[in-house]
Amino acid sequence: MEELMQNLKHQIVEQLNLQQVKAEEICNEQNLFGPDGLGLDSIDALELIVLMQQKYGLKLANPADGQKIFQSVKTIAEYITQNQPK
Amino acid sequence: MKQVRVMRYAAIRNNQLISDNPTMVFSGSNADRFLEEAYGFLQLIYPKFYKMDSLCKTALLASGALLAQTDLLKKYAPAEVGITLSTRHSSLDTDLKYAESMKTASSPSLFVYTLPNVAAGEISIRHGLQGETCCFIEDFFNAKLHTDYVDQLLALGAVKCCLSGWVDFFENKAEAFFYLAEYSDSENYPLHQSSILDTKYQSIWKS
Amino acid sequence: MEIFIAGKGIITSIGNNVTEILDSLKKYKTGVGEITILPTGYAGKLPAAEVKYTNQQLSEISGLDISHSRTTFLSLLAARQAIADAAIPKFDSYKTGFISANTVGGMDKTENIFKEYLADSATLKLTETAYHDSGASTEVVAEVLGIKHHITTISTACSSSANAIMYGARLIKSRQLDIAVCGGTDSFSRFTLNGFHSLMILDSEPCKPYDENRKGLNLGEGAAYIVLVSERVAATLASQPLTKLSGYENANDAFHQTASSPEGKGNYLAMSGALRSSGLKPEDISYINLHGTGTSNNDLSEGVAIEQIFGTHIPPVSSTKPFTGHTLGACAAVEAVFSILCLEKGIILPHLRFTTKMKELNFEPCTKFLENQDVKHVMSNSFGFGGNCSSLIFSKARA
Repeated sequence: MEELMQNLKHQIVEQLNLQQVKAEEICNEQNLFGPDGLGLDSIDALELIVLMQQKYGLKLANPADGQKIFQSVKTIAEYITQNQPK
Repeated sequence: MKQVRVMRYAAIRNNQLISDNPTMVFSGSNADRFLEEAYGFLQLIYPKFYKMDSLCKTALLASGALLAQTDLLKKYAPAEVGITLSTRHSSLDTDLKYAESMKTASSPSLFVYTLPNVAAGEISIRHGLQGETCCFIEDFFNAKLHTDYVDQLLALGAVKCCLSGWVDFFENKAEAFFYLAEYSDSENYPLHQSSILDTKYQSIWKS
Repeated sequence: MEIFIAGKGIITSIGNNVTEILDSLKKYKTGVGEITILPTGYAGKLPAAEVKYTNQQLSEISGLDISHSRTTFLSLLAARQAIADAAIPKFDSYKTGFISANTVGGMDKTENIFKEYLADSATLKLTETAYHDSGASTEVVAEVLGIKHHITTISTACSSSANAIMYGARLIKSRQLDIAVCGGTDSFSRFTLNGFHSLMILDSEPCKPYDENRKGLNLGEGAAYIVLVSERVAATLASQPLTKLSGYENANDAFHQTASSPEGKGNYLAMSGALRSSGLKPEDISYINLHGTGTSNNDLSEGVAIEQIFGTHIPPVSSTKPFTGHTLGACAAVEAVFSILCLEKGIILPHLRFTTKMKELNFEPCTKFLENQDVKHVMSNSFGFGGNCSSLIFSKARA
């Protein structure tokens, strides 16, 4: 789980081209969206959906599902752990 | 006499930010770093900057230099300030990157920038402008198209002030030539005429 | 000065000319269906509204050689009809402009060049791709049509061709032109299909705009042009124009790159500004042709803004995108032709596939093809990415 979260942080920074953010500085439970978090927006959420599909083979059919799953690095990791094809 | 005049201008060329505002002049070190260096210099607070494509970055920087120290929205309502852009390569730089992404998974954040008028949209968002926006595809900076179009917007009262000009980005070359046009009776400002704009543009392009 | 509509031309998935299209509208016949022309892995999975001609066929019909892009073929076919329909005596003696809107340019051609470009960008000359840019189509078509005085291309996303029509009207008002052929063209391409798919706003079934259960839009393709003329030119026509462009406004939502503000600020500014410029009151509008794409966001923002302006007295409204799909840069011109048809024929167009009213709104679209209506003024909305919002108002020439 911890390793997955560290990987995710690097993948998020790369995929979303977050030039002002260092992967190491993202906390596991930090909000990814909204002004009090990393400030990601709806386009970033779509980009995260691409990431989930490319790196983890997980397909989110409904972008609204992303709101819950993409709350924080931890919630993403949990979703991956629960849903990744074994 | 109140006539349409060019109140100020700002340009980007050869990794330089050029402006009639002496505090808004900046030289970058090279093409790869220019846009971000200029962003730092202008201190434009716009979190989206790093996510925008280079055409939008170029447009946003030129608009930042042009509108620095002006308080347009004290003078005008948001819907009274328009934007008229022209470009040659349009969003081609991003079109190519997006097309590359199509090979694996089409990138939504690239696709968003495959329209040139999104540059006008970014300027509108950053500066809170809601007037008419238009974006022309032209082979070169066509001063007459701009003066005719903007004069008409102002004459008909569609807008009271217009950010107008050229923006282009391709093969790592950022170019912009923006000016602000409005009615003024001050002879300190040049008239909004295509020959005057052309001369100004040429002098910057040769510098 | 009044701006009259002397002619119109159109090609979309529901017909290759005005007569065929009117017939499809009357028969509730949609153009949205399985993708059969564009080579794409999404065929059979995502519906779209294609013009059912191959590029080879379009080349033959238009008389342009096959090296041109699909966008150019469609543009020429529609613009040629518009000019023939206008039948302006001594056309060549006037100052005429061609203002064409476009968002994808020759992307269908460019797509095929991309591979080479990316493999070897040093050797492939930029001019080869530049030929396929948004402006190329305009220039080729203007040349074939013999239009010389003013040629320009506008690219402001889905409201592009509304901006083209507004610009043409202003050029006539300021006497720079006597005649302006204005509209737009866009062809269906993998570029836009994959892009809209990545934004997750495509419905995998035929779209249901303004429906509580709407799931997104369907892409379409086509081209449409209208011939705007000055009073002086209108007076020389054998049959007097029945319609005029009476108002227009463009505004920027200044909210987000692709999404509309929840309160539809830009939509409100465009519609209210168009009313102001036409000197009409909301109650004067007989019908609104909605932007109505079918995305959750667009329909809600547009609907909220309509309620803000029209209150409880909302005229019949419908979106024609369930027929044509979203034709992007062409849509405002396609829907301008529809609006003009409503005025000419006294009809109101049906909104297909509507079943459940949106819970946030107090109105629902008109689902019937209505004839013998007293249609005096029609508002047509077109709102695009980049926050670009336009509304046009067309009116009977003699109200």
